[in-house]
Amino acid sequence: MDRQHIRNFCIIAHIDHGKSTLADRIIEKTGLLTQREMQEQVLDNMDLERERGITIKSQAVRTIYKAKNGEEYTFNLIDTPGHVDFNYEVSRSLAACDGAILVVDAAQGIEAQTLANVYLALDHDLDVFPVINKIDLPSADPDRVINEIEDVIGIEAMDAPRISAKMGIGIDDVLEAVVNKIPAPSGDEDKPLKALIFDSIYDSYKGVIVFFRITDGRVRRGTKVRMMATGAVAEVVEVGTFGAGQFIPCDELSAGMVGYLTASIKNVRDTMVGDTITDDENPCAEALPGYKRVQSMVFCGMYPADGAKYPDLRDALEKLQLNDASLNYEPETSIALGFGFRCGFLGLLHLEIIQERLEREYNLDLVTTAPSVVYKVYKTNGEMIDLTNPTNLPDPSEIEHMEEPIVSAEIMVTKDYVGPIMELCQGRRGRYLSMEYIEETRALLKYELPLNEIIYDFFDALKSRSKGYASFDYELKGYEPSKLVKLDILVNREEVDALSFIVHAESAYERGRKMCEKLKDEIPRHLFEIPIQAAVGGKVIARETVKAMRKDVLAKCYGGDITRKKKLLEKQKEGKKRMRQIGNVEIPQKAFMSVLKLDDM
Amino acid sequence: MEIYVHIPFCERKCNYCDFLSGPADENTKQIYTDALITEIKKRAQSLSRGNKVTSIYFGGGTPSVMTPAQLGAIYTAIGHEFVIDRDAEITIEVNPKSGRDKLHYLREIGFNRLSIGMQSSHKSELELLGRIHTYDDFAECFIDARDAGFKNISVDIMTAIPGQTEQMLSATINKVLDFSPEHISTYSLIIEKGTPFYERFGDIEGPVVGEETERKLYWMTVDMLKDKGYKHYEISNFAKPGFESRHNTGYWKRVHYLGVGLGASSCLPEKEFDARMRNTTDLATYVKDPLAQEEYNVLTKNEMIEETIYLGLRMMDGVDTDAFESKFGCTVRSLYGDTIDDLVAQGLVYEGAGSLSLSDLGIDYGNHVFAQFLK
Repeated sequence: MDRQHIRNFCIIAHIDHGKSTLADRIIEKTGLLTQREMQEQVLDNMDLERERGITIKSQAVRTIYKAKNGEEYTFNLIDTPGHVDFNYEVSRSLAACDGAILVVDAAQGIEAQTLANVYLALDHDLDVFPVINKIDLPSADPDRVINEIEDVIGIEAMDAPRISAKMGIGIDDVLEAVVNKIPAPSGDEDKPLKALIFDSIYDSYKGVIVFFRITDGRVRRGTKVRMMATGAVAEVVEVGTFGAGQFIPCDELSAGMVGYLTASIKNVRDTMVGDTITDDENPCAEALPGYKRVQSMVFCGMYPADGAKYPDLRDALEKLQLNDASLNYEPETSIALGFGFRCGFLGLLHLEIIQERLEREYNLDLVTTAPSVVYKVYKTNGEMIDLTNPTNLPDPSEIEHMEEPIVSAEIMVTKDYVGPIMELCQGRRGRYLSMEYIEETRALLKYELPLNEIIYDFFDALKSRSKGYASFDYELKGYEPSKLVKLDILVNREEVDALSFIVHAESAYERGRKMCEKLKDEIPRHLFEIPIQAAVGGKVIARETVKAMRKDVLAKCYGGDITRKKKLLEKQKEGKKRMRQIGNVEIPQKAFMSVLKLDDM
Repeated sequence: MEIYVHIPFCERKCNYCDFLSGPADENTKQIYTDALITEIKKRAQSLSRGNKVTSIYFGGGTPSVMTPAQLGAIYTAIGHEFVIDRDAEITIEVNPKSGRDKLHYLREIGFNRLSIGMQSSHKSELELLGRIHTYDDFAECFIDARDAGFKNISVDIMTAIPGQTEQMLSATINKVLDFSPEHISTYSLIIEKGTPFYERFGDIEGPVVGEETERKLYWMTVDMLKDKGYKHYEISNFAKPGFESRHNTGYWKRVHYLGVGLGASSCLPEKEFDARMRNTTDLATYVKDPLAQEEYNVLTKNEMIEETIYLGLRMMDGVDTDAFESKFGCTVRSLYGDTIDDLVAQGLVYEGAGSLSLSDLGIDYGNHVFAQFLK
């Protein structure tokens, strides 16, 4: 196949603008699957992805399209994750493409992620052409959206296909545009092998399957390949291209092509996304630019609800990590929760997904502690530590100063909600940068925000304050000094390590108060009174009391129906099993997550 | 062995009642009576005749809504099929409007103990509860009962009625004490799902009057009745010496009992273990097949041990630990030493020579204590 007839492209969009649906239509129209075989949203493989309507891992699919000019084209459609947590994966997927279809909702217009993704695509020198989707909606206003795209993004949109991916309207126009507007890949197949890894998955039969796009050279069975960043070397067992949900082996892949290889590699950590594959015997001079090791941004403790399940949790994390190089974990111990793991994630969504997969696929009942970002603690002795667990904060006397991660955030919101959103950002210690109106009714707000203020519930707060009309995107900007303190929680005068968290000094009182109020509701009454205190550096700053239970006895004995009575007692006993014993107080497991819900109050 | 007979009928459902009962027409009552008699006969066949019956209890509902003829027929059927102990306790629950003639008849055919559902002496409380009688009805009923020859009468009092004050409850108690009944049961109102009270007071945890008031009313009742010479022998029951309810004590001491009638529970021997079972709660099913059961569980030894303790703890004398040892071949302490030490340290139970019992504080937290003995 000559390169002139290959198109490597992706679809970019704000969440819910119809990216996956369009991908489905393209696959269906190019004849890879008949309609009957189509399961909706073919590219979103994991159950979780389908349920949440988001793409977590990128995927690729290869189809053949017979264009109106009578020639056949190979389409490599690379799906990109749609969430900010997976920004780095998005950027590597984009690097594997030559062009992008920008899907914009005909009713909603441009959103924050639309902009973020377009800029990312343009940064990678992709040719971007827009498509106006959901024209079947009563509220659709394609003309307005086209103007918006030209005004705000500054790309040509007048002849953008107007489609409805859901109804199958206008798909042919999109396919023709792919042929005509996206360039064929360049590259030289006679040069040494140089290929970009944009994803890798672990398969229990084949080992690691690496997804890549070849820039130069060729690769076939038997080629000894080297991953330039990790240094891993392996002999290729199989190369091939992607069907929908299946792998199609072939003899050789060459410059411009997108495909996979297997090489009896046992760990996805050896095939990091963004790394360059080369021929070990005839290596290319330098790696492709842009590789970086993904850093965990958010950490939390994960503990089995039943201590005996610790080995099961360890095995499950090991298995998940085979497939997800961005998941980190190491063992830790908590006085309150026993043996568990401190896990690192790309962001809160990533955390939630892993948590759900552990519970659903591995049947584990988990207690998760409050998520924390990574703080830099500069000690008076000149040492610097990356703090991922609040419990490990050194004594204040040993701390010179601390720094916290800051993100640059862009929020797009309709005019009516600018006030509430600004208030929200100020409340979260945001630093206002700018605001511009991208059209009469919508503004783009730019803020710098501490990451620890947005990892808990910022998305929810944003949605509720804007009635769903705000969209949000961010990227890490760097670290800044900050006045941070550790907030400790004492239950019945005993410190509960798993409830400690780092907070800005100014919000310590407010957070401590809310935390105590929340815990007061979560902790059931005991036979004695239980003080719940929030303390900073040993000084109590807030207190609530769980009153003593006055009575717990049933007067009635149901005419000899002992079974019914026993059921009541068993329920009571069962409830206790789901609690953690701290001193002589029993704390329900969900209380350990309460810090997450402070703003619901 | 004891026998419980369930009569699922009443004149009108009370606002708090979630028992298996409701009004019924004469025809239904007769069909039910026939089914009961069939059940008694058939159950008797599978039970050893050597088992003397020490107590019979007609409960409901309101058993006194049945005609004398129906009650007589049921009682006679039991007499035919079982050997009734000469001094067996034979109780029937009656409402205060049962009428003089019926009481005389009941005494004549062999009932020797009455349980009268008085609940309150206040018109406002009786109306709130949805009771159909008045205090005067109760007074008349009690006098008639004595007149009919009942020497063992129990009166039910309800506490923690919404709006109830200490004054109101003590007035009710005094009006009961005026008649000097042999036995008094006091039940604290619980709002149960599916009752008119549930609709009215909603899904609240604990008593409507508040836990503090409920406990105050409880301990006031205990003090008043003890003061008049009643023995506080179970969490909610008081008796003059020698008049403790033998039937209910049987439940707490795990005596075997046969329950007949709709939804009735039984606890009967099954080889070396006990089986707990429950009849169907569907009337149509029951009258078609009076042996239909909806639950049948053979208890494990461990379950029997747990029951012995948490049922035994309901009695103020507590668990007879010597009897426990001779029955199960091990001491309570060998099984629950740590639990007992914890509970003693918290002041919830007493460990005496040959007994384990609740303290006053332990009474307030009975369920908590009981739950500790479940494995």
